[in-house]
Amino acid sequence: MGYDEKNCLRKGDILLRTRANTRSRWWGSGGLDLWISVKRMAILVLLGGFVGCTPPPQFRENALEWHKQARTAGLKPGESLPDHHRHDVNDVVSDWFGTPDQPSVPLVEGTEDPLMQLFSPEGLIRAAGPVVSRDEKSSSGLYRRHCSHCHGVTGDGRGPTATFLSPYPRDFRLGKFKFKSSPTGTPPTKADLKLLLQNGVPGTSMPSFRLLKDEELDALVDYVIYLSVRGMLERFLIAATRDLDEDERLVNLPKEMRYRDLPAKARMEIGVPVRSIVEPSRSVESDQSVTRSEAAESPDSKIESDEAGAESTEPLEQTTSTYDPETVEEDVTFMAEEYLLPISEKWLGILEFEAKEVDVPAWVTDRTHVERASQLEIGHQLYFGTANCVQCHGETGVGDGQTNNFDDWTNDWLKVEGINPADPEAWAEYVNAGAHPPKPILPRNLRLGVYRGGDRPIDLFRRIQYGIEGTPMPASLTLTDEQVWALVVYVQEMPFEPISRPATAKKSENQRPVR
Amino acid sequence: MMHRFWAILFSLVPILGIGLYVLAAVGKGSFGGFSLSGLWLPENGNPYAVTIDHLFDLVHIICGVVLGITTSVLAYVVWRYADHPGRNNEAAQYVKHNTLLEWIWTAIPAAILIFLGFYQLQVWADNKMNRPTEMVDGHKQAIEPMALVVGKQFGWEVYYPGTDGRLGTSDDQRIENELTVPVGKPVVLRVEAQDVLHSFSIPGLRVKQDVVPGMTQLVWFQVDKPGTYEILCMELCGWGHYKMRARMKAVSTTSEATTGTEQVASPPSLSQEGGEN
Ligand SMILES: [Cu+2]
Repeated sequence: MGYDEKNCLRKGDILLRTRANTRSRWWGSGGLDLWISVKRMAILVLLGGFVGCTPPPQFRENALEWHKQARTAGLKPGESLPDHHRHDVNDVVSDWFGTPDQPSVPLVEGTEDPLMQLFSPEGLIRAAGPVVSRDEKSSSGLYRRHCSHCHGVTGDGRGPTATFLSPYPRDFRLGKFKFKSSPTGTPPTKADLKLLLQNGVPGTSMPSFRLLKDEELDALVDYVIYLSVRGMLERFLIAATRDLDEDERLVNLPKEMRYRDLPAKARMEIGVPVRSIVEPSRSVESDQSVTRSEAAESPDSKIESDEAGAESTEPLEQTTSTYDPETVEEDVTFMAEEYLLPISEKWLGILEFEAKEVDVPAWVTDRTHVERASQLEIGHQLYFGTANCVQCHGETGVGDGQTNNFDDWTNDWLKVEGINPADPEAWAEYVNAGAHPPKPILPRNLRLGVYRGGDRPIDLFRRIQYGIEGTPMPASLTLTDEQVWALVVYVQEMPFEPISRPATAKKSENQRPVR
Repeated sequence: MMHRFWAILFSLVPILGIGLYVLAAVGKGSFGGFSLSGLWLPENGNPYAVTIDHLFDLVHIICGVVLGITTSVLAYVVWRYADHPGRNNEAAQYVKHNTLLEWIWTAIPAAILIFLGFYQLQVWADNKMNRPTEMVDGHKQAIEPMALVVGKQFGWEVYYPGTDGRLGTSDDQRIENELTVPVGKPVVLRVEAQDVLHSFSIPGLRVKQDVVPGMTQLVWFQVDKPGTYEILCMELCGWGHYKMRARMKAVSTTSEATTGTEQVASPPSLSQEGGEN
């Protein structure tokens, strides 16, 4: 199990040497020689494939947030916040949330911590880790199989394919989600996220995952929430380091000493207990009681971009005695209460959340209803009047109104220094730190009939009533339910007005009338 | 032994190749738990496509016979004339032209091709041109599509007519990657593409239709057995082509009184709050 660097290097070496030795034979005339070398190559390739010579992926640190906070703190380009801050944040976050292969959950309130209700251990096991499918019934590594190439292993919306997509994949670390049944400012419910996985997001690169099993979808929802909570905490901690005095640290340890260098036992006693989520067969101990993740002990657990790994492998006996357990405990508890609890409380609130009951008027679902025409007219008036949809979606509804806005995920860094989005040189440093080149968020073209958050009447109703989180689409607080429904009807009809319909496509031969 | 190598290799093509193929077709063979029948097309559930399967088998048998003959001759020649001890070092002869051979290997394939061309005409017409009909008010009328399936990067959108029973109006109901059809009666679907070329295919029903953006195609079939069938895209359409899988559910309509399509046109997940619980 796992990645053995030495072994892999040796094997690669053999592969290279074999290739060099047999090279002359490739050009030789003997069929048998060719056969032998083909066989040897095949065996080597198979061997390499089975052992899997790639290091386990790691969560990527939020370099963009570090850069942003450095600039906010008044540092010049090229300067960064002190390394010990980065170490503290990385150590604490990876101590609490584990690694992509071995996630864990911090139990601030002991074993009964409500955070465990947010993500079930079974769900995290199925969604995390490398892609494995033993048989049709059980498969794990769902997130890496289906999601990570766009959303990234870290859930930062920066997977390998992300740059090529428009709109960019969601970055979970802001904890904001667009399409949900809950009001602005609250996280989506689990059912919202699951529905989104089933339907995909029409008009974007997010496909439908309806063919996944129910429990697989549940597992992915849990994992997305896990990544979101983890990412939010990391951002909060990074922001917190900015305001610290020069000789202050998040965890007040002696200089040159890192939080992760504390013995596991010490971290267990004075820090926050962590429940490690390890698949039973992969786990060293069979019981999944509250334990420190084994991974946390191995060098693997260090954050990918952390270059300071070498020093940590040195013996630490002489330094361990010099820290003050009480201060460390105070600091860790403070972090948990100040930064982690608000996040988990926010998410836990949605477990009890029940979407507002709304009755769908008959004239919304029934096109032939007598009232529909008058409601359509009311919706039309609202569009241009009180609701002011026209400002962004334009007079014709093709989304050509205000088109120079950006979404919250971009504004998060774009607004910091008032960067001019039209000037690539102005945002180059942020793109280098991991941001996507800013793209304006365009109001929806309402004549296409493509609705990202779903096209059921209730979906449109919620988009209008609650707005769309993270975008300029506002909640319509002043409209009554009935008015919102009238708008829904108007929006429903727009794609079917004659002006929206292109010339009818040429009919193919199999549509000719039957003799 | 080396001089016989190529002869053995070539003779393996008809022996192993055709053997595997036949075993897969009869669904009997398996290697270490790996069933060969899994390599074959799924069982056909579409009465319209019985003739397609017949054509499919016919073409394969013709090709199999030709493959067997040509590779056997090739293997024999390589074996017979290989350089081996006991063979005199005769010089090779260069045969430049043989009119009779040219005639044979031009005429036979041409005859087969022309035969197949005529032989399949009716199958093509039944599956691509003569839409199934139904009697409406005493008139024979082509069956209207019960749903619209739109291929897009990367998935299939299915639209059902809403309460007005017509497609292309504001009460259409959309569901992603799931199509529900009634069993035991002809089903006509309208198929379109949103962005690039796709190919709508249901292997279990032998349905396959390329879809081009801007064009409308109709496909029809009948499902005799209730169950779940796989819908695939069969035209490489981008990086996510492999994700273009959808599910088709064939359900029996419980009450004969309703027209079936209306019964299944609103799968439970489409009802107002259905998908959210
Ligand atoms: Cu496709």
